[in-house]
Amino acid sequence: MNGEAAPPGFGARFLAFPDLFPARRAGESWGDRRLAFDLPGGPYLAAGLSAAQAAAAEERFGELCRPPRAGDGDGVETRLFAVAPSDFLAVDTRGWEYALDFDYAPAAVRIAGIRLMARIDWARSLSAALWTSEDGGAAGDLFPGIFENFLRVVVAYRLLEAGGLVVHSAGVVDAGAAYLFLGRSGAGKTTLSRMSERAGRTVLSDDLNALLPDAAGGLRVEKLPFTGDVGERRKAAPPFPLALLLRLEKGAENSLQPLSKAGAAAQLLACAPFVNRDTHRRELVEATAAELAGAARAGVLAVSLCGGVWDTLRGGTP
Amino acid sequence: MSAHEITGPGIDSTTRLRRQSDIRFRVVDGEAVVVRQGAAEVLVLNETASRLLELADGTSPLSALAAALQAEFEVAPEVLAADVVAGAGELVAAGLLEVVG
Repeated sequence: MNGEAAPPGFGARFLAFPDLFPARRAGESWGDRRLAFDLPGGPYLAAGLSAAQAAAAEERFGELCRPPRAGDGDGVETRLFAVAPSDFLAVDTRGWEYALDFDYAPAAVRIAGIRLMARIDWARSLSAALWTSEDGGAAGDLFPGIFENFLRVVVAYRLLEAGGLVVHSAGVVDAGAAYLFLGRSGAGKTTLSRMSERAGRTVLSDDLNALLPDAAGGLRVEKLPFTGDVGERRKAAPPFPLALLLRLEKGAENSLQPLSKAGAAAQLLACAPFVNRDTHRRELVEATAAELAGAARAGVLAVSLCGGVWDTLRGGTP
Repeated sequence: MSAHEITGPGIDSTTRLRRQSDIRFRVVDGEAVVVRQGAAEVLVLNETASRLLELADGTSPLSALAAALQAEFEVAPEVLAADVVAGAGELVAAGLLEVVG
């Protein structure tokens, strides 16, 4: 590892030696396995995996994961490297909400977490690297979660390059179009997802969904395998046109009100994880949120506990 | 009512205000999307508040801001002057503007 000046506190919760954070995409590979992941903005190519890591990734991502093939060359390249367990601190996560540490720089983003160090670099194009001590083979091994956390961030930055955002939201398909429900934790995204699923609708994810511009000037929603409690991680889905972008609120009764373009942009900005705190890309993030909001139909959906949300959505046009 | 007789919470029409250093804003369809970076908070301001935020340069008193806005809003001057002071007070209370003098 090469030394690189760390900001005060960066990685201190997770890393034994924050000052020795890798300065470039280099190190000892876990193995020679390579995989491609068909996620929005991809493919995402991962190289340097061990056999156990590859098996764990295949188990986690199912049909979204495959061997690389000709034509994947324009994908986002990521490399995995091995580091010693002693490079990481033991973390007591009881009663603690896990959040990665970020260090944003003009040409790179550094990330530290539980048994992970990662960086995203912009040279000719976006590329990424992950250093971990987890080989994916042992029972209780943290590799699947570590790799997914890493991918979440990489995809968020890749979509930003493509004019889109990863949006903290519940994504539900109804009549061939996707509704994105945005809201703070506790606003009811998972509850609404469960209700929708029970009523026969497809839930893309109750946690993170991809929102992208389409060629016709509209917006499309693409499924991400990053779910909370509801949503299928392992199966692919086609893109869906965006029906409505909805700020979700709790209410005494169901209601649907219009949301201004600025209100929609603010919601998207607040719900764009990882990139919305990047001080070096905030102009791009804000412009992207405004652009997407300008193309979206948006509303404020108040939801009661009495059901009937979809009747409300079909009955009123914001 | 003269401009000097109009007062808000700790400010009046002679007060000069500027944007807090940790805010960023962008006008979308007439309304401002404001990011308070220190608080990691995003707000939306209506059209009048958005214009106040744009005009608050730290050098012009609120009376000058009201005069500038007079051409944009069909409101009686004394009403607009009062609204500007009240609105500026709200923006100060929200941590978006700070008093220069």
